[in-house]
Amino acid sequence: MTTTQAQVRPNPLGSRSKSAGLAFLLLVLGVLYLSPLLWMVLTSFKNRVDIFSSTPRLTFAPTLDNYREAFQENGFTTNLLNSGVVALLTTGIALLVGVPAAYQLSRSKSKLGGIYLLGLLAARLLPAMVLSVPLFVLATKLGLSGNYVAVVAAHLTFSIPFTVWMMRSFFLSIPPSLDEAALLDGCGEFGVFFRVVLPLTKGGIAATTVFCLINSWNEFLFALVLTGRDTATLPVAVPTLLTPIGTFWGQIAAVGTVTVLPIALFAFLVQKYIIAGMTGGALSSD
Amino acid sequence: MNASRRRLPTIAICLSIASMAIAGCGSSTQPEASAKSVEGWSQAHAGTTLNVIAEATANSGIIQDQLPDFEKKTGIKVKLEQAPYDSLVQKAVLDFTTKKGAYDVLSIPYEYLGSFAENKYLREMDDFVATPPAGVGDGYASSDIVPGLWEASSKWKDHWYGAPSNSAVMMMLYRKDLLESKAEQDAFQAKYGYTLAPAKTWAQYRDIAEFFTRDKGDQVDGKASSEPLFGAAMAGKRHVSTVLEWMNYSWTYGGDLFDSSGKPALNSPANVAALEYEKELTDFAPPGYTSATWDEITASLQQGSVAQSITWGDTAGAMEDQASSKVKGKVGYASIPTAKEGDTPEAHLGSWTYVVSANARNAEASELFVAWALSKPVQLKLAKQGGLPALTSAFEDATLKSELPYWEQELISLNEAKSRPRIPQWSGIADVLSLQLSRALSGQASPQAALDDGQDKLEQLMDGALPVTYQ
Amino acid sequence: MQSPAFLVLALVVVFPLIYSINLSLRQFSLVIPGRTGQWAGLDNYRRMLHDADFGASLITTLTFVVVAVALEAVLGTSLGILLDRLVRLRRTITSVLLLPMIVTPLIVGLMFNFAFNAQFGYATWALEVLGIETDQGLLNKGSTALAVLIAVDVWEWLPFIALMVMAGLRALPASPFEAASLDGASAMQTYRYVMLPMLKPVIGVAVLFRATEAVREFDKVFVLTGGGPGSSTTVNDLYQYRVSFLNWDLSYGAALGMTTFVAVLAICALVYRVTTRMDARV
Repeated sequence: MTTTQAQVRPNPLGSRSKSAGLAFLLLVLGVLYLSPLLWMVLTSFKNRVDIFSSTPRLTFAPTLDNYREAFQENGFTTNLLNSGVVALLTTGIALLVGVPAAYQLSRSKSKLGGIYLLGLLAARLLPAMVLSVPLFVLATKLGLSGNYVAVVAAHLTFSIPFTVWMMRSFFLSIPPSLDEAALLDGCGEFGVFFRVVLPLTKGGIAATTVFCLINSWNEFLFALVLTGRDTATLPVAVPTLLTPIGTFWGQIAAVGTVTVLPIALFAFLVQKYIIAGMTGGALSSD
Repeated sequence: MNASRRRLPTIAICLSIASMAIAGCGSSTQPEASAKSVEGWSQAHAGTTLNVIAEATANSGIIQDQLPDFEKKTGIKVKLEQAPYDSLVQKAVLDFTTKKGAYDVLSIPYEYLGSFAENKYLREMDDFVATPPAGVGDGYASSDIVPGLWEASSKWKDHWYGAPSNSAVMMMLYRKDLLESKAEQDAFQAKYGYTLAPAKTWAQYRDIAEFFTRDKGDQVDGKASSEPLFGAAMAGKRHVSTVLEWMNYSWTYGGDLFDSSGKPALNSPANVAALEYEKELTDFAPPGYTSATWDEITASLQQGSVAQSITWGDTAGAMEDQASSKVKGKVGYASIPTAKEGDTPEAHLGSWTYVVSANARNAEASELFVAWALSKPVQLKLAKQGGLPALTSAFEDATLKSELPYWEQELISLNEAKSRPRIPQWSGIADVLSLQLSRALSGQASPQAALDDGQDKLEQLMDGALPVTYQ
Repeated sequence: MQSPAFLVLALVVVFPLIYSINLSLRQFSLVIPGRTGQWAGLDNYRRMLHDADFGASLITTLTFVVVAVALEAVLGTSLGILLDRLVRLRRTITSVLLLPMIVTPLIVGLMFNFAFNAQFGYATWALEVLGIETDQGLLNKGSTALAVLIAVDVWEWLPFIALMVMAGLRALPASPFEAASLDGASAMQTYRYVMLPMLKPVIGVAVLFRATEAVREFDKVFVLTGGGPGSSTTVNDLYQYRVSFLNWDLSYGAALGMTTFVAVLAICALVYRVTTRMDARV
């Protein structure tokens, strides 16, 4: 795991001096690669005429009108809040119930545990329609429609399995001898979990949290079916800007930018946890 | 002729008109001695909040702006939600199914009337139609609502379920400035051998479309154009807007979804001919017509990038809107062309109607809202600000006629209007048609093959519900 | 400590599953009066056999998944190996690569709408400048619309495979490479016979994960093409959405969903079996 070993592997990019030039090339390629995203951000500051120009315009007089119209006049601030609330609730519940379950599964070798884990994976494969119609009916029957319950429940169908699998692989990397030692020292089962094991998997929990938040924030289909007027999240609200009296591309770009910005910043700040999360399941288990 | 085919002006609704005559004067009387009232509007429900949903159109926007007036008159607060067509229908169906009454008043497209009425999702409003309910104040006169429009949008079988919220009807929009240009007229005469004028027949419509399809830099009206120009904007996406547009071609070619005995007749020669014609027109459509809906049509027209289009009359306001339209004052409005010169024009009615949910939390307050929305001051504001009213007096208003270039055409087209089926199977029919039309228009199947496929699907879909005797 | 998780999941997964199975054996429509849940036996499943639209949606989905994931795997692995060398730029590169995959998929769809819009898209313009005639725009022909969707998916998820490969490479032990270079293996040989086999488990997991996600593709198709033109981009989830939430045929929608679920589950089990057996042989 040291950088020295990298020198042993063949270097497809050649010597270091060449790689300086290549770095510049990569920068250009990187900007090109992100151009769809950058273009949307640019578009959000354009007026109608500049947007509809059949020759793309890179220079234009920037305007904040799109943001003002979307967030001050068209109520997208509410959707922004809804997105936040749904993501936080989902993540909170998923961690609360998923982390202890993951710990227990990591310490048990029973067949049942294995089946349970596979069941969780299978749950991830359920088509959205199979889940959303019953959840909708259930929420209605329980008198819970019109609030966040149904959509949060739907988001739990992917965030709990994710949390369990992810955290299990982090817990597996902690030798069971450690908890056994702590048990002998007189900690109860809960004590071991909270005082010994959890602090050791802070990184894993951070990674899991980040992924749960992003996945819930980004989810569209469940939210489309299961949210109402007061609970619609940003992705659900954006398509309402395509209307018979015109498509408000400027506002779409503005709302799109605001939807993407928090997670982009967030991802930048907690980058190492995201990488840990992505690779955690693949690299640390087995 | 199909029993349920309606020509709006020709049907006199004796019952309702008779009752309206009585109601017309009764409406301004004070309802309850105890309740306070403002301009005759009862304050009995002051403090109530109504949840209303309507399509995101000009009309809804203007109603939104006037809500303080309703609150002033009745003390009722209204939360108006605006949504696009698909999502509005979804929200409505889901809300009805849950019986939660999350929405008290809903503005629904009339093709869902049969389904919603038969599922008992809607409050019966026979009494509302017969006599304005207690507490309705000045400015509302049911006799003023365009009768045929009201019936088509709100009456299902023997009962009434609402009142029209939007009187949209399809018509032909064209670039008056281009058609009246001397240079263009001469060139057209030379090329086609007849005088350039707003199309009366589909053949002329096609010629005009071909004639005005120009590249960027070509001469348009004597000037080099900075953007390309196209002959006709059309909807070709797998979406209901494509279905509704095609039905104009179908009807004027003598086709329909069901034959006179009420059986599906989707692949009739007339329907195939109509689709072949529409397919031919796509040669002159702006790029991307296969992903275009009414939204893109409006945008193309506003941008000035097309010469003509068959589209909805309620977008006329958007054409004449200084802020968003490049063609203000340059658009002409006319009836939909016909197959042969002299045929009776047909126009596709697209009206919307305010219904009250069967689970509305406050049905009386809901009816007050419907009456207010159809009261004259509100409707006149609708008209002045680029929306469409449902009152005869508003369409006949002399000032409006002189100020709004599209005003007279709206009433003409309404009088030529015909309804699409309002049967419960409509959502399935629209889905079958949108797929098959989109296949044909994008060249994945021939018009005949697409409609043959559609006919099979339609027969399956209608299994057990045939013949269609009332639609 | 498992019980809360089990309870919550029972509520949000097991209940809907049982409900959907039950629903799929009935006649239930929200718009057609009289279809209020009458027992229908296997009618809905029988209907599927003759449903050409369903068949078409399966083929479209399969094409989408296979082509997109294969491209992502090949391009992503190559990119990962290339970028692995840039030690100093690692953090910046990672940031750039992370963005496409964490951006809201629906917004990704809309972003590419700005690019491929037939009238004002900058990519449409660029293609025209390059002399490539797009005619109606790439999104408006059945063949190219699916290609654009696949390209967008590759744009979004190629970085995922690349990042996985980069992380995988860092975790590799040095000794096999040392041995290879002592044996005088060429660079190509080292890649082929040393690096790739060791990366296989990482790539395998990434591909399986991507495939299960791609099978459920909905958001980007919904905003970019809506399934059209015609039915050329109607993937399975979109078709089910149309059946359930545009036609309100909830019982048939449930039957479609259950069938898809069983099929995907079976394919996953098979793929899992095959890959683990292959691993055992290597």
